[in-house]
Amino acid sequence: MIQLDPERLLAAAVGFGRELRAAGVAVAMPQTLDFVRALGVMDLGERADVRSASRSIHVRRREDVEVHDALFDSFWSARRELIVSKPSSEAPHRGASGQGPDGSVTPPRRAHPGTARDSTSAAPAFVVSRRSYSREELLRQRDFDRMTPDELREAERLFDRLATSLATRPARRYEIHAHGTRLAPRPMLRRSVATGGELVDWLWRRPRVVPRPVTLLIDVSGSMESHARMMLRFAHSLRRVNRRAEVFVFGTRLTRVTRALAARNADEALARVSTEVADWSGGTRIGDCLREYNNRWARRVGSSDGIVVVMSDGWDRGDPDLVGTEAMRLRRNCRRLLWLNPLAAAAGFEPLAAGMAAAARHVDRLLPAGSLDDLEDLAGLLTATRWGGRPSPQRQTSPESTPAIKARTVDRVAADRRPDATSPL
Amino acid sequence: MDSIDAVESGLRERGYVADRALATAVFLGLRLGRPLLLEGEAGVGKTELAKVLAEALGTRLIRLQCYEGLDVNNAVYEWNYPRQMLEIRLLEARGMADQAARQIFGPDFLIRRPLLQALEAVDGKPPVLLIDEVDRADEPFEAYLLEILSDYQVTVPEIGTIKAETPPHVILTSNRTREVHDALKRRCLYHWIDYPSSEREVEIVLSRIPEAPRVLVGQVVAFVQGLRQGDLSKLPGVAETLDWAAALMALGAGELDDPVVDATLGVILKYEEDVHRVRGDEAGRLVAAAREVA
Repeated sequence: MIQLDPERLLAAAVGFGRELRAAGVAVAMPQTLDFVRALGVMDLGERADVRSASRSIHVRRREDVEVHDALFDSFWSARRELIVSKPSSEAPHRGASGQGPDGSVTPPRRAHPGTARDSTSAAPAFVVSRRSYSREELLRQRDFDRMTPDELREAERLFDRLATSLATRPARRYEIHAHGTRLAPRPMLRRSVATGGELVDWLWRRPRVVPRPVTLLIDVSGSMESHARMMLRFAHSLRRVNRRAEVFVFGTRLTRVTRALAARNADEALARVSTEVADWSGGTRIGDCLREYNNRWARRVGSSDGIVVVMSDGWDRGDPDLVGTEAMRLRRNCRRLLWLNPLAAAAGFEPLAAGMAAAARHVDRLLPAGSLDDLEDLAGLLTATRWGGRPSPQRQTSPESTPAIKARTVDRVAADRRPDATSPL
Repeated sequence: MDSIDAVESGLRERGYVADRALATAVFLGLRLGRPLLLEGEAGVGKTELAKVLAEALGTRLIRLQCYEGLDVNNAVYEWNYPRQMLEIRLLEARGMADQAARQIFGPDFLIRRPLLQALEAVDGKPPVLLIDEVDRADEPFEAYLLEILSDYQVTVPEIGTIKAETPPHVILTSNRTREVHDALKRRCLYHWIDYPSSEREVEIVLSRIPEAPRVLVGQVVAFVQGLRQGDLSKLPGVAETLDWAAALMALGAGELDDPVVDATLGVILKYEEDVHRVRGDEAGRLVAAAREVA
């Protein structure tokens, strides 16, 4: 049985943890201690076993397995001096001084495709056939980029009346509610004390619902120019009813504008956003921006119970593979990923733009976002407690809705609805 | 189970062929008293491992299936209200109503849900607690789980704190539909279960269905492994391989051929577009390749 010098072993284990951290694998002290404990209960002659052990202790994500294995081999091969065949044949006097990462070990950093800006050879020609309009067409169905300034103003006012998007999720606790579906025996019993142990009222409970965190990622690059303002206006309305909504804009880089949008007055808020955003109407690097969100923000402001809504046409000058990878990561860190694409309103739309095509596979829903009606659909979707639940009440009673529009809306909502959804009677 | 070898053979005896790295992770989980988080594609045997481990340790398996909206009443405990009411009435009838409060909040009236059950060892043997598909639960529940997994204790206001004398062996599984919270991950050991190699998959099928003819098993495995190279919406897992082998046995097929594959493709492929893509040429090619191998 191979024996190790315990003191130097601990120092080396700490050093190994540090190397892993440097390579981007999140390792904390408890894991290092576990590792040392594990070494104590294993046959250290079985190198592969020790590596497996180290892997299951240090690694928490599949992506890190390779990095770990490579580091493990290089790090521990360089430390044969730890082995002492007889315990304490050598006084452990070096203490912690010997654990510094030696220069020979170069941790393989995780693949970082830098700023690959090879403008993908002439992105596929993309023909947008606009919807045809009739004279009676309502404002709400008009594409934003076709609106006159006056119409725009009116559309903006409509936002405030939109089914204001309180996306919710079930909380752990219950509330007493007249339309609850489960009996609430505990408060019933408590109340029965007042009536001498006689149960008089039936009480019902239902899961309490709390706002579901929503993150909006809005593309403000050149190709989205005509829509960006509307989207931000929508974001502003959403912020006012959902305190947990987070808003980011991106073009060539990502900017968090949640704070800037906090101003009560919409115009003021939008003005503040535009001063904070440096890359307005410029190019797009969706992949890098999503990556930045995933790395820097997803865990801090996002929630894995949340909804992430990306608003972009998917035209991208960066690497489409990166968009795909990052869209996948984005999807993993939320409950639902929606992608709003102004182009998707076109008949026969196919996600052809390279970035869009790469992301589409990971998106739960790809929705049109060309008009107010589309945004209203989104609001309904965000309001549904359960996916496939009923649309927001406002939209059903909305005075603007002509029967024709209603039919269209209902069609779309019906497609979202699961067969078991309760009918709104 | 005091060595990696013992874990490996203990699992194998009960029909679970674990690779060395997985056996190591299980061993460390048992030895260091840490929960083990298993991730991997659907159908690679994450849940099965917990079942077999419980069997191998000669203890109970307690399973908690997670879903969105899972709450404490369903996961930890609930009072047995009907029984409490009945008890009150009985005490009243006997003129002992004043004792009701003291009596009805006792252990007899507590319905133990999985997490509470898991804190109770039977015959000094802690159970195996399987927390299945933890990625489906919501964040608040994850936070609650974190609390339980660090202290192995539950507080019931009316009774007090119930603490496990010997903590259960905990196995969590996740299909990775979303990332499990870091704090929870940090508390666990981690292992990613990959699809097995051909040899190991043959071994798995034979250990589960010992009466299966070797030739058939070899061909089935080669076919499935071939499918996994392809671009499908949902790759078949080991569970599908086992189902398929069993289905072919039931049909009395001794070897793979085009008609029988065509008839049973639905056992391994669960998406219409996948079946559509594979049926015909692709299936023929894979059958030919499989027959060559075995």
